[in-house]
Amino acid sequence: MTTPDRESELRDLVRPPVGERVDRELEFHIEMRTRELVERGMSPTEARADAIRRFGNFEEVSSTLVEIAGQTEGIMRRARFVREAARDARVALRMLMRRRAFAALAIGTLALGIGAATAIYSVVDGVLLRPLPFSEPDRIAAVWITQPSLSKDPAIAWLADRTPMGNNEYQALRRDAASLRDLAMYADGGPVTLTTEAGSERLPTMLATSSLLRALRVHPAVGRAFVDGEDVLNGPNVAMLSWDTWRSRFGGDSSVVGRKLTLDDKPYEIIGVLPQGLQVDRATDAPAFWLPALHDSTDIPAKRNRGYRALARLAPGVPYSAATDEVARVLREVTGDTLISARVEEWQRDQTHTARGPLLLLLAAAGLLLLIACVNVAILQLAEAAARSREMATRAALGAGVARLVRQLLAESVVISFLGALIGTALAWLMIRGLVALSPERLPGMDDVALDGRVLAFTMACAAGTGVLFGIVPALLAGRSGAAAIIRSGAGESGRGARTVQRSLVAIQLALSMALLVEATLLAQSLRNLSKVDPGFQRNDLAAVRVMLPREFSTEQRLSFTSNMLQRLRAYPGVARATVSTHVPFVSGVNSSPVTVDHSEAAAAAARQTQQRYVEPGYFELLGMHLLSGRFFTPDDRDGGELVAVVSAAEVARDFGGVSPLGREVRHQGKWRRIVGVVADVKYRGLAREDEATIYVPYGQLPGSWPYFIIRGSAAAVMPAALTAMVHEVEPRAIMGPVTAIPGAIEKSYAAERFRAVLVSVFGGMAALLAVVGLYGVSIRTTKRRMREIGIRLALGGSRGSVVRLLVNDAMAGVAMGLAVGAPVALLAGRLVSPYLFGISPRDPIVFAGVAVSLAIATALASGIPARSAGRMNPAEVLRAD
Amino acid sequence: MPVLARDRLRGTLELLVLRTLTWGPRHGYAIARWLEDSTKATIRVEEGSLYPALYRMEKRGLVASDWQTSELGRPAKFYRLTPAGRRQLKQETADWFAFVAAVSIVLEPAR
Repeated sequence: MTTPDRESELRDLVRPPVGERVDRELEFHIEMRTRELVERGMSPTEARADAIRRFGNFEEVSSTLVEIAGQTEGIMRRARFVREAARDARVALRMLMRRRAFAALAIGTLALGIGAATAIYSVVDGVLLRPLPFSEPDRIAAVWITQPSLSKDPAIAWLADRTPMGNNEYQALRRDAASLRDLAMYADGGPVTLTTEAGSERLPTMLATSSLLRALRVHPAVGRAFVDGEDVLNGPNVAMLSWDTWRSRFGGDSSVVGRKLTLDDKPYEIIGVLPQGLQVDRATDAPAFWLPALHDSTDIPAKRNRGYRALARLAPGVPYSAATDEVARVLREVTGDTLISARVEEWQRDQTHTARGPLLLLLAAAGLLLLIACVNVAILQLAEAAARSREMATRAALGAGVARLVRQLLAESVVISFLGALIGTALAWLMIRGLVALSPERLPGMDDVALDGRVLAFTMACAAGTGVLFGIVPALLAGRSGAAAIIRSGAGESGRGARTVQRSLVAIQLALSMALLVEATLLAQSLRNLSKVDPGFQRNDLAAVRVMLPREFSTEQRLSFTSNMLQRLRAYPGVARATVSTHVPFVSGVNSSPVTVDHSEAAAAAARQTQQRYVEPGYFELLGMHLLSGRFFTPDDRDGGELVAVVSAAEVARDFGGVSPLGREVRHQGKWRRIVGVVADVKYRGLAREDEATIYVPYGQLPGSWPYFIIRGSAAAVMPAALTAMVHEVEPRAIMGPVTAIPGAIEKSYAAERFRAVLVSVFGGMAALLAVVGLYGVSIRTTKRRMREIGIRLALGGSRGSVVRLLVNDAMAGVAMGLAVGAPVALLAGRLVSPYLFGISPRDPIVFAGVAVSLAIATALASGIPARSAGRMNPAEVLRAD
Repeated sequence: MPVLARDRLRGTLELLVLRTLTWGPRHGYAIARWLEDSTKATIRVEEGSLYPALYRMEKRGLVASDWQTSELGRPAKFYRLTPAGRRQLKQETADWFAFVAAVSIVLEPAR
């Protein structure tokens, strides 16, 4: 097969270099001219001299020509490459059109793999990799206090790695830490009540120091930012509007600057508007207002109140490690605490540190699926190659070189992978929408996840990589055997080498599938364990609602409100019981105080953090908690009665060595209380969490201003409107929060685990499906190839059973090898998921055995069906056919 | 405006070369000779500038070349028109006549 391109390719091989060609051409010219002049009567020497003279500057022209010719050659080579690639692609497409079943299977397989990888990568890119939209984002550092000693106490262990800052540390670092520029603090300011003529509503806020916008190198869209002197104790009430608030509530009117706002009944002056799209804390609700930090008396320097997150610009040229050392030194000096240290880390990394592990786990699972898809297609290609050996032999015999055939095979692979990528991208688009919609965690940056250029570049890289990856093995096999061998093997029998490679690929694919399936099964089993954990209370028909009373309410006002509310609630049809508390499992946050059980001074110093709950009598009964000894609270445990407490079993184990504490005293919030009861532990924050030492105090003896009402009853979920009316009837100034059904809240507490388990299971299922379909395809091919042999066996009196056994045994040898290799790979995969497992070992033998047996059964079926049909054929027909 | 003049000169040379090649493939010397003969030596093409022009035209795909046996019995580089060169010639010829017509209208009374 020769073409103009092929010819020019050959010519390139024998062609002299550019310089020589230019010389020859010019020499020819001179010679022709010389001849002409000689014909006109000049002497040869004279003629040649004249010809050269007429030509002009010979050297200069010659070097110009060499330069131009070099460029021309480059252009032509590129054009030829494009033409050839296009032709290869056309031929490949034509070949694939002839083998539609194979093409569809291969393209579909890759589309699944590439789609899944692209979808997960887009999330990884959006959340972890894409630089934040600030100038030099890699120089913005998160600054934390670390207190390694806290990691032992489960109640406050979360502070060990990342303790927020207080004003004390902030002022010291601003003064003394030269490695930090524009150190800034911010905190969730909680919701405030915005009062307008239209009524009141609750809107989220953020507290920020004046340095925050400077540190981010961001300027207000309108007006000005906070200035030094505004972020101080009792500083002026000024506010910045978020862009969205400005547009939606103030019509984007620039004259808002200077206007007044009423927030929590206090007048605030609007000083500026934040730029569009500015997100500082990407994990919380976008704040409607920014208010100056450090206004509150709890922030005054004398107190060690630490409620702020901090960030700063690193000074030019300062590495993170040096900044960390300096910040640690300054912090130790200012606090006098030699046990603390510092964490100074790239801000983006810090913000995403909890999301990183799970996301990379998902990416690894998707990558594994893509790899399996590649191997699967390589197997299909090989099986195809065997079936196509006649075609290949013909082409080799007609003079196509081995290089040509290898190139054609690779071209087919690349065409398959790019078609796969095309469909995969469409799949990824769908999957991303699903991922974003289903993702339970509020990942910073999740809203920005999209199929953009960066992600598509990744997809294309995947496609190119996979095309070569699965195409190279069959191509090399074809190449290695050489044209002569290809022609010889034209009878339809593929070489021993190809069979070995094919069997190895089947084994690799099974091994990878096994790893992914083990991972999926472990996560699913872990989720099952988690969902079956007894929270320690009866969750059905429970709901909770929070009511916010004005802060200035006295204890009497609070208590009269709650008793009024409880009376009405209990009379409401469908409500079985109602009670009030400061905390509700899985709905409210938690908090803790130091507790002492001993009157000695040493004990006071060693007070340990204990979870605290203020509960109305009836709380324990309503939740269905178990009384272990003593009694629950009674209506007599009220304001003015004896100070009593109920403690949890974990508290008894921790502070009383498991001995009954009934009648003993416990010091909590500066008051000694007598322990009257011990209750079983209940889960509060998560089903997987350790039980925490907890103290219960009668609500009447310490009423909060924002109580939760807890209701058990059939109508619990359907009465928000009635509840609102009830609250306003009792107290018009009260604001009601949302009604939360507790069973739903419990499920939500492990939504992240569910999401992970479902996603990895889907990947695992796809992998298993690919493995089985791939093996089925291979079995059909193998059986077809061995028809003749089978025919002879049958004709010679072999039983059908023996033929089926022969074929299945052959396939099962590969399966056994795959599972044997798969076990250690799966152990590695198990290590990867072990941080996310609950109540199951990453090497659980039942899971491993179960996955192995299911895969073995599925693959036995996949190879058994073609084998059975082979056993049923009529030997005479087969033998006659060839 | 010397720059324009030089551009035009180079453009003209290209145009003439393209025209020359409409009679079939030729080597560089033949092109030079043909230009001398057909313009009756009124336009003297400097041989040193003919080859760069040919090479540039080849780079732009207006002409293609290959080595064929010449009248001397040795291989010589023969240039031929490509379809793109043919299109270029048509366009440039039309432009040339339009240009000449326009300039003629201006110069007519002076004759």
